[in-house]
Amino acid sequence: MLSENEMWDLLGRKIQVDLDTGDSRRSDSTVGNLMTCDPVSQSLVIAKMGSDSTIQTIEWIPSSSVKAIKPLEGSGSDQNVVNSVLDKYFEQSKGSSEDSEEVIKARALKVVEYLRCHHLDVTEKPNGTYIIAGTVRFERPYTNSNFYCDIPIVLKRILKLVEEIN
Amino acid sequence: MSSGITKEEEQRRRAVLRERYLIFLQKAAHKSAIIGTCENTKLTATIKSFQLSSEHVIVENLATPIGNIPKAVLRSTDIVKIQIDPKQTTTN
Repeated sequence: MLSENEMWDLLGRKIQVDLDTGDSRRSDSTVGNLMTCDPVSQSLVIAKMGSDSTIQTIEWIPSSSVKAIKPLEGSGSDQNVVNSVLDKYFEQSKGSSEDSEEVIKARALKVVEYLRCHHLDVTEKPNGTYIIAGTVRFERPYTNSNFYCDIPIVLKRILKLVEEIN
Repeated sequence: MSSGITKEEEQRRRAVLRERYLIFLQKAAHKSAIIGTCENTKLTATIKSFQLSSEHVIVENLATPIGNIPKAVLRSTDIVKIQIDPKQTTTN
């Protein structure tokens, strides 16, 4: 397995991944452009690009299946296109909320007031995070998916409570 | 250790790689997938979520050669690769 720095250098580049199929008589490999390599689990995510430079298929490969990684050659101009396509894929998840600052703040205040009316202690931290009952974090942009808590049952109850807010 | 790369840069790179991975995991949820396993079997299923450590994958409607399983947890050590079509709409 390559090091993290070698993986970084291969980002967006076409690679061949030799796969461990668990059967020594059967070898398999896959080719695609490296989207990312998880530094925690060493899992690979590669993209198979179409002739129109769009992502046709994405493959997730666990680290246990990776026998070897070989960089393949690609042309410079194609590489720029591929990099921009992959960057766009990852950008789509970020900043999906186009709400203005006022809307975001109003939403937060509405939820905080509602929780306080239900006798829950809500404190605001300097970075804009609200702490509910000392255990649940409520973060920007203050939607239902922005409640975080390590205790599932507490999180479930808070989410049930805020579901009732219009 | 890394050659010529500061600790801060190394940390930044790890953060970028991890963030990209987490975005992929988020996008892969609720998508149909073809799962290649170690027994040279191709299964189809709807991905519910990946364990954050990526040791297990939770799936629904797993179609196997011996029948369909409504819900299953797959070990990543049994999986060779998972193919996902990024253009498909999210299934419930």
